Amino acid sequence: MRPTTPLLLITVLQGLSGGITLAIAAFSFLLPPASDSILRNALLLSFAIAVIGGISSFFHMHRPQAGKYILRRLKTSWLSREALTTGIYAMILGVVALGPLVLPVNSWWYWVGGVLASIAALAAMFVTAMLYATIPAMRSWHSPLTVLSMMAVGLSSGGYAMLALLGESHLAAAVHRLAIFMLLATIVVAGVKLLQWKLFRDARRSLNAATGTGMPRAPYRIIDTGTTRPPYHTQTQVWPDLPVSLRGGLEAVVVLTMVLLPLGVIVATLDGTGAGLLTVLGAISFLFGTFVERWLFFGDATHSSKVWFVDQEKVGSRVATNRPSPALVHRFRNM
Amino acid sequence: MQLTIITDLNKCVGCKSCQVSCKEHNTAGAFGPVPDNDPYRDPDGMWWNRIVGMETGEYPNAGVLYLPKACMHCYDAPCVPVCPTGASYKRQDNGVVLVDYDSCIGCQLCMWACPYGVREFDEEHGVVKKCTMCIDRLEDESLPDYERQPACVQSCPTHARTFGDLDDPESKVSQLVAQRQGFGLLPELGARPAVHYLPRRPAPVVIDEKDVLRVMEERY
Amino acid sequence: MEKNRVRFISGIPESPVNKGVWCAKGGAGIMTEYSPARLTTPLMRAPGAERGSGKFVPIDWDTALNTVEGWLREIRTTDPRKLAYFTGRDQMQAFNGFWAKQFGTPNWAAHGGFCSVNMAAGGMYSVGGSFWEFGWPDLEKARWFMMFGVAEDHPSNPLKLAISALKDRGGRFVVVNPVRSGYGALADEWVPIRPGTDGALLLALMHVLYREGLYDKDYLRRYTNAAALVEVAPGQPQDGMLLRSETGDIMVATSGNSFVPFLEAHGQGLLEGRFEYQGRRVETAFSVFLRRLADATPAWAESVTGIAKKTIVRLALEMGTTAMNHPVTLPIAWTDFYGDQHPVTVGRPVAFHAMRGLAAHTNGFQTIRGLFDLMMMLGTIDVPGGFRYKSPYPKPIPPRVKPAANASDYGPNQAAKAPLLGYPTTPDDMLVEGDTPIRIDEAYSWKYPLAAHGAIQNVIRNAYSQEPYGIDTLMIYMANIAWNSTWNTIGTREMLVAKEETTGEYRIPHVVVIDAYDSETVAFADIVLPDTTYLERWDAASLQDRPISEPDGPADSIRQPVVQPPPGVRPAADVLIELANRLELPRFVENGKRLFKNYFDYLQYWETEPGSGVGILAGRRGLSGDSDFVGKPNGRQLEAYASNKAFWFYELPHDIKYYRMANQQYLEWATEAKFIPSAEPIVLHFYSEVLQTFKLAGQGLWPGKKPIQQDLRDRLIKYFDPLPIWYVPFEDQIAEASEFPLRILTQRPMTHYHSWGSQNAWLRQLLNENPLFMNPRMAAQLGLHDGQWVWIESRIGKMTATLRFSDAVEPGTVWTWNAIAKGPGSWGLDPSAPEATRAMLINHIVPDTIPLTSEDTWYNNDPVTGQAGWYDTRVRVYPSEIHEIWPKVAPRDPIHPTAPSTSRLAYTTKTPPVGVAR
Repeated sequence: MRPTTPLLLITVLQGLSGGITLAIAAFSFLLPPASDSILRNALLLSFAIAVIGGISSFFHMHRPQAGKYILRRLKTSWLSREALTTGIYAMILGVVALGPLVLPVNSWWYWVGGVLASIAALAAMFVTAMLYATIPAMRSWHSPLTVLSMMAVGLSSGGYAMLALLGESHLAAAVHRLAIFMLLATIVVAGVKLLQWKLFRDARRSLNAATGTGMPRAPYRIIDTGTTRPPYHTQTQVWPDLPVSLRGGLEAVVVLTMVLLPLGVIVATLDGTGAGLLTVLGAISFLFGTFVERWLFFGDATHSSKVWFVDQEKVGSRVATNRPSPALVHRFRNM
Repeated sequence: MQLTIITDLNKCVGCKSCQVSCKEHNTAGAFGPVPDNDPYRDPDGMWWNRIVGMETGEYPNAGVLYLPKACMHCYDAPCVPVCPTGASYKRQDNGVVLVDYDSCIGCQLCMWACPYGVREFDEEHGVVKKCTMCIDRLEDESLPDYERQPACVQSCPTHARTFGDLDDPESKVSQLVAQRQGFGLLPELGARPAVHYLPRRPAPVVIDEKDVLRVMEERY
Repeated sequence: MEKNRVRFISGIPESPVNKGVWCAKGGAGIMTEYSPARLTTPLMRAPGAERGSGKFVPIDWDTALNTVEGWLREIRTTDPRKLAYFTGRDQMQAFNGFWAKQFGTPNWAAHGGFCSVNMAAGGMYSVGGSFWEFGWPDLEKARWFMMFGVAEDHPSNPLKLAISALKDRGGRFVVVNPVRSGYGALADEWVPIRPGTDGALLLALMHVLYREGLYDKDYLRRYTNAAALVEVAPGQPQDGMLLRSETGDIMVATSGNSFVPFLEAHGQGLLEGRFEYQGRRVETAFSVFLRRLADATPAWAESVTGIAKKTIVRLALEMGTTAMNHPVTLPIAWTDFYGDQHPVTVGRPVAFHAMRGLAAHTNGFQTIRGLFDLMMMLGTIDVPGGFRYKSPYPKPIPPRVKPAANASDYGPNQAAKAPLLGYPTTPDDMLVEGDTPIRIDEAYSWKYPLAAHGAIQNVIRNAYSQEPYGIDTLMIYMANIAWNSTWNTIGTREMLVAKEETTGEYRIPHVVVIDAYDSETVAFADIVLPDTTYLERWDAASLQDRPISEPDGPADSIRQPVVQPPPGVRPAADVLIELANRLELPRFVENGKRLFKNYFDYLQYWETEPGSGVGILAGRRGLSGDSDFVGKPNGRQLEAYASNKAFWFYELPHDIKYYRMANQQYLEWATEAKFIPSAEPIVLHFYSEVLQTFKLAGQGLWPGKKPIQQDLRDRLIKYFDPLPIWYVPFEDQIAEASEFPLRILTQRPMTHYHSWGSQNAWLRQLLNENPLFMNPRMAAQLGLHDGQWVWIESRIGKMTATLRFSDAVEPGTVWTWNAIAKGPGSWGLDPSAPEATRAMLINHIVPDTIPLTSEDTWYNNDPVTGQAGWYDTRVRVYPSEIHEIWPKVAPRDPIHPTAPSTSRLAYTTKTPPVGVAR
């Protein structure tokens, strides 16, 4: 499908914000305590990112005046649910992030809010990912891998952001722990992405004109598409096949920026010294990679309607021959 | 009741009469306009019904197939549940899938959810538009009977298209689907399309191969 | 209509022709009406501007008419031949031809020479009818249908309905075509054939049918001249002529060695045999044919056509057994011209259909003769399930109308002596003085003797080279002769702007273009007269012109204005009548009185001859509007049509629906309806004596006119064979042919009508660029890949295109869509439109002339009819280093410079249908 800026921003920033929020929660509850001021700043940052993401979602709505109806279909629509969960997340996060301006810090509301924000972040990320994973027509997305990948990438991007924030503060123990956690997370991300790219490749071949037209006799070739090129303006679910070199190049960029570089940063950070600038670079690299990864997620996704727009890849049959079956022909003749 | 259009692929010559008559009626109809971008430059307009042309097989056994493709008005229309506002809906009384432009936010999720690529986005109006089965003709009691059917069915020069109620086993469409092995597209995606196609039905050679071989052997 | 705007265009359910359906072009008519290419005011080439630049100044109608009137008056009073008036397809010939005849020029024709005169003439000289508006396959009753190459754009709906009817009944559909598309997609069998070889296939089919005895002997004997006796007298003037009795009747031999006139034989004439009659050697026409057929074996045809001989044999067996063993019998009694009663009507349910696939070759006429002879052998002419005539056909073979043959018949200040186009029956009918043609297009000259539709494709080069003479004014009515309705396009455009070296004046001094839209040709006009669209004027589809009749009976129809034309636009016919009135042309002005105010009048009051009672429309004639066919002109006729769904249809009674050439009741009825001059039997010309007379002229044996130049004589001898022959198309006879191994064709898309589709905002989205389609097997041989830019080179030039693989084309053929490419600046399109930047026009490389024996200019035309042989073009294809369309044509100024800047069009009747400006 055609990648659009609002969609890139919403999904990437929501993941980033959620990741940061959860990393803060982790520090508050699981990890060695970090500096409150850093966590509070991180919360503000997370909130700001969530707000930017939320604003960009308005640009994806072409008729915001109908936005008031958006919660009507909670029962069936993951988008309706996304609006709800993301909205709740942003509200809670807003309270927790902005609350310290008027309320005492470290009191019960702060901890409860933090827990709720974390749960809401997970819920929002899950719901957003499910929105994409539950569309059977998007062959590349219709898989649990979509949820895994989106959440892993989102959480990791938040983790790397947190690492960068902490890296500046020289909290060696926290950095160390988080770095080890991020090492594992990055390996998971790498694994999930590889699996997902395999799924994308399979998806490009998973449908063909046999069921798309009822013609059993392959190979298929498009004569024309109705207009002389696919209607990319009016049908945003289709998008030209990416050139092999572009796809490969972008995938290499993703591997480099989301896996290799961050891993290098982590290895360099594990001794806990002098990591400040490196962790920032790591976070920026991972975030950049996330945008590329997300662009590929949209731009390289195969929609089932592609069957009618693009020639089918020619995959020779190992058993078919050009010769008609004499027995079969004979039967037809004598019918 | 589930209204549907059946296309006999044994008769479709790919003339695109239905594609144009659809636009002709609907652009000025109740669900219009059906706009065109850059109409006199590099055009990229909206069509609710597009004809796909497909070559199959290899020379000299090459086949050519034309497939009119519009909204399938699916029993389990995937475009309906994904819509957050309920703008995309399926009529209970006749099964027609429609879009309520007033509550459409233009998110295009329904376009991704539709397996068939038959929903089209109007960037100017910010809404998704699609085949309405010419519901404004069907329900306009002021029209003569022959116009109270979808424009594409009325115009089809080979009478390849038939309109009717698929839930009524006595209807012509039901009988055609039953007798001619009508099929829906991409059944593996589970949308259960109401729109069906009738397969090719080649007429066989009218003489026996044995006779040809005998004559060939004896004389040619 | 809704709020003065077109709301919906649809078919009329009651109409006998389209029965309520309509095509893409019909529905998109809204966008044709509101096209940005509309001409809205008369124009004059801007002072100092060059022809072709598109620079015009608007003028008022008075100035325009005065200017044109001045030119025409001068021509008419000095030499009317100096006006060449040529029209496109849809301009009513019963009006325009009459106008030109009354003007006095011989130089008028429509587009037939470039279109399909081979098909029309081939049929007229064989059965007195032909395909399309003259006749039609009866697919409601056929069981077996073979279709050769046909255009898919018109008249498409009747054919689609017919194919649908065949499919409903499970009839078998075989398509013989190098390309499988459109109708061919539905074929049960596709027989790929090398272009230009169909004639060989037809001969081989007849070969097998004869040898297997699968032909209708009775039909041949009764209704055709196959049993007629032909004189065998080489070197004598009667050689090859039919043996005639003293009263002029053709003779047949019957068993018992007796010889009787054809009509007395009652179908008992022997089909085969050589005889002696009063000391003269004679042979049946069929026997002459059989000798010829002996060599036309399936194996020979395989080597020519590329179709396996087994397939040829099988097809022949299929059509033969279907025809002979599965007749259709209708319970309709009828009486033939012998007076014999038939208790039932029997038909051979094998039908054929064909058009340019056979016709647009330099062997097309004889190929089509072959098709009609094949149909006669199968007994399937005007029978249920076969070929059926459309009224007013059948006509005598050929129809009895021919142009005046002497130069003096086209003198100053007088009308021409006869209709300008018709059907010669002997060499004496040639429009020549010695060997010099009288017509500018050389129609009816020794080069193109049976050019029944003229030869529009010869006009510009002849006018440019002033052979046989120069002209003063070229008047073009809606024919795109500077682009897709010409060949050697670049060369033709240069000829239109060529100047005399001495004077600096244009070699074609004046060009007047009448058109509704800003075509490429408009740019070459000195004066442009804007016409109305079909929704803005009164008009008719007439039995006098190209009728809309159905096999079941005659029909005609009208157009009526529903949209107000732009204020500066007038119906062209009104303008022509105004000019005729000003020039006081006879039968437009009598005794100083103008007979027709406008075309509305003409449609109702014009008669073939004063007082004949036969006019443009056959229905609702007479003062009270209650006579059909013949009756006094009715001043309320158009009104009556308008209130009756705009058409008139007379269904023939059952007993005169079939075998009409031989159906006595029909012949009498048709005489009364004035379709034919008399009820004489129409005996089908299996053997064409007319062609033999030309052969004799070539041999110097014809007593009347004959050519002097040897190559002209050779041509008549070689190609005017009274029986169908197949020969290699001219393009293949040229020495360098083998350097161009592929044949290039075009196909008309169903969505476009010639060049018109591209100005239509909706239709152009369906097709606006065209690749070259090639079989992957051939591409593999040539080392080419899908999507690549290639050169296509013919012997006159080369051009680029992108390659697209297709398995639905025969490997020796490449093809593309017709008339998609547009000259930049024309048709209201942005110069960057894909039509101008990504589409290709093969007309650029279609050769217009052919290097034959002498120094003369020989057009790439059929030697019998002058039909342009544009499907003969041979090319080679190889990789191109240029990745864009070439040759590039210089952009011209558009008529309305602002039109293409529309960025969004959202047509409704609620708001004006104008787009949002960019």
